[in-house]
Amino acid sequence: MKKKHRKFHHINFVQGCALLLLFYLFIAGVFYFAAGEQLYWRESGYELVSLEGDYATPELADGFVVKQEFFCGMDRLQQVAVPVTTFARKNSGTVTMQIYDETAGRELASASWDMQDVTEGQLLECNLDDRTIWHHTLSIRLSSDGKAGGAIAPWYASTVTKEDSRFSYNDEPADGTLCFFTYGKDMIWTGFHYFQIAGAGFLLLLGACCLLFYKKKYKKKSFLLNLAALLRRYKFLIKQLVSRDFKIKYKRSVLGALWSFVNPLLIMCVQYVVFSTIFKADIENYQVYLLSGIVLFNFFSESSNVAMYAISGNANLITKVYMPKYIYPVSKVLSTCVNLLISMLPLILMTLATGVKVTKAWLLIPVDLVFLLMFCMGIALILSSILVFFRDIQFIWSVLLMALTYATPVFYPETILPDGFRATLNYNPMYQFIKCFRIIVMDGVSPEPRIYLQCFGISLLYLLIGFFVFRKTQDKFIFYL
Amino acid sequence: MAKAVIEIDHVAICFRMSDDKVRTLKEFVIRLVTKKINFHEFWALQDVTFTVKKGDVLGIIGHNGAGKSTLLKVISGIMKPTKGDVKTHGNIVPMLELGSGFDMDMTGRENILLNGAILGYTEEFLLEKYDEIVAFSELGQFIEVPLRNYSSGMVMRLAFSIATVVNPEILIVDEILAVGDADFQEKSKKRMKELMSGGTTVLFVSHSLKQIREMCNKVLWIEHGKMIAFGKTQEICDRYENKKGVTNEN
Repeated sequence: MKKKHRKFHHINFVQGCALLLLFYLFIAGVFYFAAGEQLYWRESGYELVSLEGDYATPELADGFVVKQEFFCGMDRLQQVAVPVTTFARKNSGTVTMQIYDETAGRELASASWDMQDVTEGQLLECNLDDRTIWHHTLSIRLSSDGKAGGAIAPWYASTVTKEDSRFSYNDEPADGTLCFFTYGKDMIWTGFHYFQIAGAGFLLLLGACCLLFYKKKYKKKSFLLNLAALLRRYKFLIKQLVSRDFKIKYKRSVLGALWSFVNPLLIMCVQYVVFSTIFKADIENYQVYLLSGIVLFNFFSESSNVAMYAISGNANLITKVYMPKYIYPVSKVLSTCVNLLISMLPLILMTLATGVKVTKAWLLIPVDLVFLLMFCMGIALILSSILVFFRDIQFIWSVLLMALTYATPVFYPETILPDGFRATLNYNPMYQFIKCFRIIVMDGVSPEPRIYLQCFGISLLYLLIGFFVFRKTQDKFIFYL
Repeated sequence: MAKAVIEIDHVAICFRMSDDKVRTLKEFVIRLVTKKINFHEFWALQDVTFTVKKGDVLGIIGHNGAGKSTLLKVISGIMKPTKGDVKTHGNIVPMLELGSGFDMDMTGRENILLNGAILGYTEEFLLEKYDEIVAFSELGQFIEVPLRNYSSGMVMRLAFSIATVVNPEILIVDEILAVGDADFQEKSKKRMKELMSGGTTVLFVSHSLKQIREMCNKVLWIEHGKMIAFGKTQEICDRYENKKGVTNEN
């Protein structure tokens, strides 16, 4: 009789595989669409050290030409900018900036300004519309039709000379280096090979499905098949536990689940009042910056704090009923995840209220959240199993968590960190997830593929560590509860 | 012959006990450094071998600390045996002690779903049997009230109703047969008998020999983790009583 009930919503194996493959294709397609341009180009890592100009060149008058040749290790050039001085006087005439590709021997772009309108310290910006330059030697040529005593001049660093750059006045080599900035992009191979990569993933998945089919047919043991069977069997239990945790959290409070919505907003208000005077100037759209950090970090701290007690707190059940013990920490993290999803709402509303536009990149938010969820699961598995043997971990963890709160740029800009400390951000998992989220929401573009890879690597690593720690220790839980 | 449902083959459980549990890191490190971690082994079960056939009602008797509950835990898969092998065929439903699977802040209805899920029932099954559970528990309108407002008898009635609605292949009962008032006790005894006649295998731990004699057809007697005897109810119970009489006289 029971057997019949258990097979109520039965999808068979082949259908399941087909669904999985379709889902994969769908995700791959959406990802390609949403990530767009960022799959092909990223902000160039090639940095020309921007110089502090200490002198101005002679004024650009009567056909005087200032030229700077430099090597530009970028794939695409977007903009070249040169700071100029007006000598604090009225100037007249037209100043022209030309960008040449010396290697290829052609002009890339030019731009002109009326010197009347140029202000002191202004950056003359010449746009190149993403011209592809492939690591060529370029030159900037500045000239004007102004008269002596009525023309502007660019800044230069008189004592700096570089190997791969040449500075000249009227084609006569001169000492020093012109002050200028370049903005460009580098090509990434992921975009150009996206279909190969996605196709390889598809084939891999298909292969895995075939292997599982073979194993199933010949009744061989397989970890994945067991996992699928367990998931199907305990789906209802997980659902019940999650809904229990969620209901209990706000039971007997007047606002109930609305607190998940209001709470991050209130925390944001407090922190905004406290920190906005200090950091506001450094951060564009500080409200969204703050709120996104708070929401993601809260999810992490709450899930780790709740899930830590998942095993020891359910001791009376674990000693009475058999079920896979993974279910306890996993259900705790999932129920906190419901809170996270609710907190997303005020975050999105706040973002829209501050005038940020919704872009297709927002489709990538779930990707970041899934990585974060995997990471939190891993931490939850580790903490919950350690707590059974060493109760001290709860106190150690509270200190670690506080340290991590301050080490992660949640309410302050990362630029205030001293250089030595900033390097640690690379090893701070929460920072990666929050940064990825902020790029998507605040800049409206996808982060570069490397960041996804980093986030995925971190989350998978912690999930696997958590899984193995838990699996290794779970049989001993019962003796320590 | 009836099929074997539970096969216990030379099962032994060993607890490695340090003299007192080391639960903090500091304590652990200090003990490790001073080499004062000395575990002594405690065999909660040793060389237990028996087979339960389908439809058997097995009573387990023995003094406090004899290993009865440990044996049940091994059978239901909560503990893995240190040595030996346990084979069970069919789903095992434990009759939980008062409130272990319940959440006191949730209503009876929510608790039926939660507790049912914990016992491994499916959603469809629970929804189908929901009315039956409520009717059997005699809770009536209280089903929509949070459990913290129930009397302990009401909670137990609910627990019993959920555990026995399923006709499990193996039911584990750890001394909770006296549930609720006299009427409900009568009813629950009847339900147990129904289950047993329906082919459910029951493992039953009790200190009441009267209950054992009444319900069980086989008895396992363990003392200090070792099997003393396994066989027909009448014979084992008599021996147990005699032994008890002897020790009492001393």
